[in-house]
Amino acid sequence: MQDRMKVTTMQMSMLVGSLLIASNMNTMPTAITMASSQDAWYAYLFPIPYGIFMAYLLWRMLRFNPEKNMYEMMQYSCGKWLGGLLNGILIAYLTLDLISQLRIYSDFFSSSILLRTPQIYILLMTMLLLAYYAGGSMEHLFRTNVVFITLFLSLYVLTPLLLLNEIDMQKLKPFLSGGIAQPLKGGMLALGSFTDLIIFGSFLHHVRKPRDIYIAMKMGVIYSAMFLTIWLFCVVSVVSPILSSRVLYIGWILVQQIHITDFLDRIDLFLISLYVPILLIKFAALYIAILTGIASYTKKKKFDFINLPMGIVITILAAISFDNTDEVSLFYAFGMLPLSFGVQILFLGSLFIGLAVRKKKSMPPDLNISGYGIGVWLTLIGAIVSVLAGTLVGNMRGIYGDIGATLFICFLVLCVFLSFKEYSKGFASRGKNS
Amino acid sequence: MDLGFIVFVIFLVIGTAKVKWKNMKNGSSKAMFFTVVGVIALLIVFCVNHKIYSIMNITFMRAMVMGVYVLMRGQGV
Repeated sequence: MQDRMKVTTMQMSMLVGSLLIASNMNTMPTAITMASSQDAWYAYLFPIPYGIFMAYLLWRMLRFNPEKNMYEMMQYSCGKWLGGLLNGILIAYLTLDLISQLRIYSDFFSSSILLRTPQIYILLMTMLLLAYYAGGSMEHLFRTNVVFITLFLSLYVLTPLLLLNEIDMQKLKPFLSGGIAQPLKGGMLALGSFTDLIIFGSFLHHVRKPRDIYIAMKMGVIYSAMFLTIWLFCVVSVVSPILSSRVLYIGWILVQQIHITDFLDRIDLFLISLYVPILLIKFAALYIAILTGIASYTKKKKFDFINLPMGIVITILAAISFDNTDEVSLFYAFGMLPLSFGVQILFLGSLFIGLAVRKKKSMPPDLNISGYGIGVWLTLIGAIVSVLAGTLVGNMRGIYGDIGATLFICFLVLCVFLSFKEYSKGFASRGKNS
Repeated sequence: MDLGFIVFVIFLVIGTAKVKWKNMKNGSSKAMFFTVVGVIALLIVFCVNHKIYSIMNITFMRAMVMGVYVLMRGQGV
């Protein structure tokens, strides 16, 4: 049901983490290492500016109309018919995204854990769970997410320590010696995997103040990029770039490499019990975004009656839309990038043109530029320059590549730290104002 | 497609219609519900006759995906 319950900034930033981290851990590293080889672990630096830009766009949208989500704003700005058509295109894109991700998930379970269960039942059971979450309020999803993502990230941050005996730095070397194209190609693929952020537009009516969405998404995108960088670092340094570009479920292979003692040989089973809920939360958010879009066509704006039938449609489509696992992995890694850019430019472009034509007076800007905010941008530029400059001179002498990689790590850590400081300062200033 | 799945889906759809009928007060809600049910019926009929309709069999999709794949793979690994 489309409720109007409000959520906090922290809950939103944690949902950003769930959206971006879990679904990009298992199959995306294969595509990124194929494109970037040993330079793959710099890839998630490049989607950060895109994520912040998306946060900025959503902040601007929310300032126009704080009580509406993006589907309602589209119908307001472009009219019933054109707005409905553009909403339909976005819903179709989100459905395709959910179908491909559900199929990857069910293929993974069919081939690794539930070997004798028919795939259609894995999909159906998953879909029933998503329908259950969609039947409740959004706050249930956000609260569940807070519990699981905290546990997941606290264990996930220990992964390099758990894999310490398997990490071989020689597999990462020579740093930044493959030319400028290698990290950029990986960055493009990583950017494609961050395009799910548009679903936050469906939850705009849950946000208390416009600036909350900007601060939450900015911090969420930056820490997600750092966590995925750590993950790719582990993938390349443990499994090797050549092998990881050929193995399908590389995330699963990586956690299987954790061997603490003979008694704790199957840490992977423990980690996966935290990984799956995060993935399901992401699917639920995507599913609710689709249902919210469909509900925008009805007068009541409620989707409880369409919840289960739509889940069945998605289940059947996920089962029949791809021939095999290779096909769906290829589609998700390489097909979603051009599709999502095409759809998002069309949708957001039309929306902002429509809002500009309507000339509705928007709320006054509520974002103050702080020193920490400028610091985030400076460190981000520093990290990008380190990588690009490193690639330009990295093939001359190995030490140049080493310096570029070291500066990249320093700038990224500093960027995460400053984004946390910006977030906490934003909170403190809001407390004084209110 | 599995026969058990089809029977289960029919039960779910009938159950949803029975429980949620009172909530569908206006025509647009009812129209939407029956449209989705129609899509389910269509998909089941298609699936019984043919097993797979792959998205990648669409020429445009395959060309797009393989184009990006070749671009990303380049001269490397």
